[in-house]
Amino acid sequence: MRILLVEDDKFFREFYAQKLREKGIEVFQAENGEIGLKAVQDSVPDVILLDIIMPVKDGFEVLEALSQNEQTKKIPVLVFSTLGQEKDIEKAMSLGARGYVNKSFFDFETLFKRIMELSQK
Amino acid sequence: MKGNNYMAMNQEDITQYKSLYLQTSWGYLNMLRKNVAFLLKGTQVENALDSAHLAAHSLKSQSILMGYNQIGKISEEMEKIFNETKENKTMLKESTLRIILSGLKKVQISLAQISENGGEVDMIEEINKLGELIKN
Repeated sequence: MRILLVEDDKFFREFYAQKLREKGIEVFQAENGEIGLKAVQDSVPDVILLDIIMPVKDGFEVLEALSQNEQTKKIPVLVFSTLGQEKDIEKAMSLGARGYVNKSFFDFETLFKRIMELSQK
Repeated sequence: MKGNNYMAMNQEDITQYKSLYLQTSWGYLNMLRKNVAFLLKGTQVENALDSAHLAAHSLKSQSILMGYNQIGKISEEMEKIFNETKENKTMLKESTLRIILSGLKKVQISLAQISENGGEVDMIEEINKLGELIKN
């Protein structure tokens, strides 16, 4: 299982990458949307964990770009949200995200279960 | 803090990630201070708003995960104000920026105390003031 974690915050990137690796998941990291899209071109992941508010290219732009490419439009994307982002989540879902997790509420078992479900669809 | 039901990391993770939290949080605090200064001067307003919003958002998210709920809450109120200003729903007054600076001073003290194995300082006054500005 290969996951691409697109997140500008180094703290979250390192924390979640480590937790996922402990479950035997291969994790690739990108610090903004532009780097994330390049990483997807190099190697298609099973699931993308995508932050929304990022510099350079945000999560909405990434979702739009993924949906416009035949090779990437079926990659399941879980949005990495936080408190007060209800409107952002709604917009992300309308752009093709398959779900969301609140990165500030640490519930790794739920996150892991969602990743496994999405990777098997 | 009343009304919050944040679920933070466990103690082992908090200990392991505290150093990285402090490193990134100081970065966000400095980014906030620098951009609030630009906003006070009225220079580079659009870029300053974007950067301040991003910094407040990131500081909020990681502080909540670490269980530092006062820093999380005050950053959340700042994020809302910067966001509403970006969306032209509110005007950013000098008095608001002064309250934000006062809050940032307490964030600074809190981070210094956390690095010395202490806790956060009480920021409820600034949190309430910023919260009232959003309501109005």
